[in-house]
Amino acid sequence: MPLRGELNVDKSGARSADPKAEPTGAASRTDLEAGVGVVRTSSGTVRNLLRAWSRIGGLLVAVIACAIVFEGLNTAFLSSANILTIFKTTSSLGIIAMGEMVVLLVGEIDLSVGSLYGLGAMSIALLWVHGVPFVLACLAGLGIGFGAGLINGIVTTYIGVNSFITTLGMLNLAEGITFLASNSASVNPLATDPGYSIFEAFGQDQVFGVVPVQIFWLLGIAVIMYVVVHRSMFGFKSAAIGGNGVAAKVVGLPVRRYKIIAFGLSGTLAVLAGIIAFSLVGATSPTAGSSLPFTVFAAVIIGGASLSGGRGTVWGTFLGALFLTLISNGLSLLGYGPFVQLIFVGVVIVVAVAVDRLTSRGHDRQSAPVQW
Amino acid sequence: MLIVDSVRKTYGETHALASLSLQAHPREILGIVGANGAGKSTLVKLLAGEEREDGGTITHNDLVLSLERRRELVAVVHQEPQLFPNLTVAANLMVGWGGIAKPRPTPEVEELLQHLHIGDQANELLENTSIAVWQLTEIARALLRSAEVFVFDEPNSALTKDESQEMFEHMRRLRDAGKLVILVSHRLAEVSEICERVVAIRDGSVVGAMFGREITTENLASILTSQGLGGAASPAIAAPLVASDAPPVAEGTGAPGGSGDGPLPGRIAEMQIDAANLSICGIRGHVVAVTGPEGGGGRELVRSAPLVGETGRVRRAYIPADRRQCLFFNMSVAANIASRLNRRELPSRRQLITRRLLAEAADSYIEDFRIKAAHPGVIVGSLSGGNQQKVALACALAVHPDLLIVEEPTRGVDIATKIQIHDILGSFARSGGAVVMFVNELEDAVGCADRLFVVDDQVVQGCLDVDKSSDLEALTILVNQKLGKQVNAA
Repeated sequence: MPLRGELNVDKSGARSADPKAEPTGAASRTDLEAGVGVVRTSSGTVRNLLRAWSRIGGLLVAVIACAIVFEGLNTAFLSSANILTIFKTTSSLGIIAMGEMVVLLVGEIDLSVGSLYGLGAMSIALLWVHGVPFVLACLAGLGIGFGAGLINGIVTTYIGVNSFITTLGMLNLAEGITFLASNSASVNPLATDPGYSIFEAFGQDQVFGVVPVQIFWLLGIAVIMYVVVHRSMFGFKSAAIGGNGVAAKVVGLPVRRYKIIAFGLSGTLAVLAGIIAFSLVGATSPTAGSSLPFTVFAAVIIGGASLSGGRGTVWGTFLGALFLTLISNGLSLLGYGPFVQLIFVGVVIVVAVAVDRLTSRGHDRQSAPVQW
Repeated sequence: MLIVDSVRKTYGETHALASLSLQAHPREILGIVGANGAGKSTLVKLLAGEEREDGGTITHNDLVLSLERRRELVAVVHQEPQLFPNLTVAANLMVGWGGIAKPRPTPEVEELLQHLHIGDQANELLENTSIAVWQLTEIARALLRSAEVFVFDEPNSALTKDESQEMFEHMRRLRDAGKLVILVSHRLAEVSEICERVVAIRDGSVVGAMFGREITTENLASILTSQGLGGAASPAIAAPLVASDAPPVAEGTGAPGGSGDGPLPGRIAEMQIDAANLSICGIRGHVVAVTGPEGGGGRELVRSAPLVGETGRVRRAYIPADRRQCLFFNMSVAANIASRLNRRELPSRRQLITRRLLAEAADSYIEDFRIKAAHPGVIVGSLSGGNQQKVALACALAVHPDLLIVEEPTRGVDIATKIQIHDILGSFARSGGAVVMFVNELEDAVGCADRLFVVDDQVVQGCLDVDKSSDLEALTILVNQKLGKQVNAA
């Protein structure tokens, strides 16, 4: 530290008589350059659009590229039957992921979607086989999902428990209740049970004789969520709340209410996805949703949502879920089991985010896509 | 000697630096002044090695500096230092040391902290210390790694007057120790006081330089406002921002009479801006400024009112000192403004919200407040500081408040924007609103306030009538008298 000795310890001694009296002679005048000025071209709008769509475009390219590779390896991949299967299996994942995306958008996190998905399906199944009409059982199940979401939201916003902790607790709580209520056994409703035709309408029917009904559930929910997230005051203010919670309070936005609604929405959609999967399989087991949260987060994050809040799109989430299903489907067509698929999903989620960081020049606030 | 030669930098469609050249020498304090968006922050980022220039070179003693070398050689002291608040002051200096055991402060570290007058706070957690200590810690870190160039980027916008003076003392000591010191500032008075040479930047290149006795506030201001600043002293924005039939916000019950001289008794608790029992503040048609040292209670007084929302028929809006606390940086300019509007204030009765709708809603605000953005959909983080501040003002006034509460309305803003902001606040008051603001710079009080309260030790020490014709120097002396201190002659 050669400097130490040179630094004047005495404050008053450090000051020279008048700093302006002796301008440093060596200082030369800098060139007077003609100012070029701040030039803004009309390509700004185009650039902004490109930026906003680059994530989606990239995903679309990835989806198509994967489809082509799988088709090259196994020509059954792009058969119409398999394409329908892919969309069919995307539906549950996609619907939960859209709920999760809204929670991330307001700047929170919901780990409990998997066990709420299991709890919802199980409570509906139990109520139903014990004589409650199926429609009522469904409403009760959705109510449980909504209620659990509200509890998540209230504990998080009013008591101030971090939502990671709150929903981790809810994850265990819901799973425990599911196991207790079902005696850890699966429930298989019979085709003779009253209301079975309605049950089939969630996940077994074919519209026009060919198109699985879940695809319509998925698209229907996607359209509704598009309007909610991208065209409503709720979505607009949610993005603001997630983007800057402090500012949201200063502005007076309904921070708590919107967060609670987001959790409620997430819980409800998780249960709806649970019903659809329940119907598709024709049975529900208490372990139904236990590994689901990880796939859900993979889909949401690949779809461009940010864990730090304020970013997320419905179409991105949709594509993220589709992409993951497509990879699983393609790998199993090639004869690889669930373990290999797990490895792929693990790699894909990190690569997707890494590519995004590298292409968007990362940390720069100014190059980030605009949520609104 | 540090030489910046024909450096260019472009962000998207914006030319931030257009072939900028300058030289800085050891044993001098070089001032850099310029309007918002002139390229000062970009230059600082390049010097600090945070970003790479698109063209041109930066050399130190004839060696071209790589980004890595710049990070070692150049220390940037700004208003928000990048440090570890969860560590002690001393530990912050030792972060990054090798070894296995927890590092202990060496005599060198202790001596250095003593030199910088923060030795007694060495074992305080940084988060419990003042901004001034943060900045000194940053300087200490730089000295430990033998940095040669010290860039002070608006160092004292969050400091009190005394702390600022001490910071300047440290700058002079660094200069005397043979370091190269650069001061980037909006505060022309300070630049003229401390710098031996000043360069002015506009539109990304150097447009003027001054030496020694030429450096005066007037000369600096004239360079900065002479041309191309978009009509700095343009007429006030006279938009009718507040409904005129609203009731008076407050009657000034506890307010001193017109002359307003002489200390006011009373504790802060009785001085709340609470609309129901207002005492000093918030008189419809008036701009009231509050000033005083940090911790004296002035800022807390201004904040003590419920800051947003509505009480009775009084609607409030609040702009904090830190813009990041009132803007949404993931959203566009238009969306930020529209987020304050009622559903029925949006231009269309359509139920769905689109970007176009937001842009239409925000359009008149962007025009009225002279926000310079390529288009309404541009992300708010890409604007310059002054324009962000104008967006914050537009957002606050978009809710049609009766009472506007502002802290440091012109913090980190260039002189032209300052005048615009004073105009906006003034015309808001003239159209029937009430403004209460906390100011550190008396310039703001002179620029638009009608009355200035001096608060210290949790008591209102005095009240002064001010207007545009008030003499800043005289006012400073009066305020210091109220604070019971010797006038700090420059």
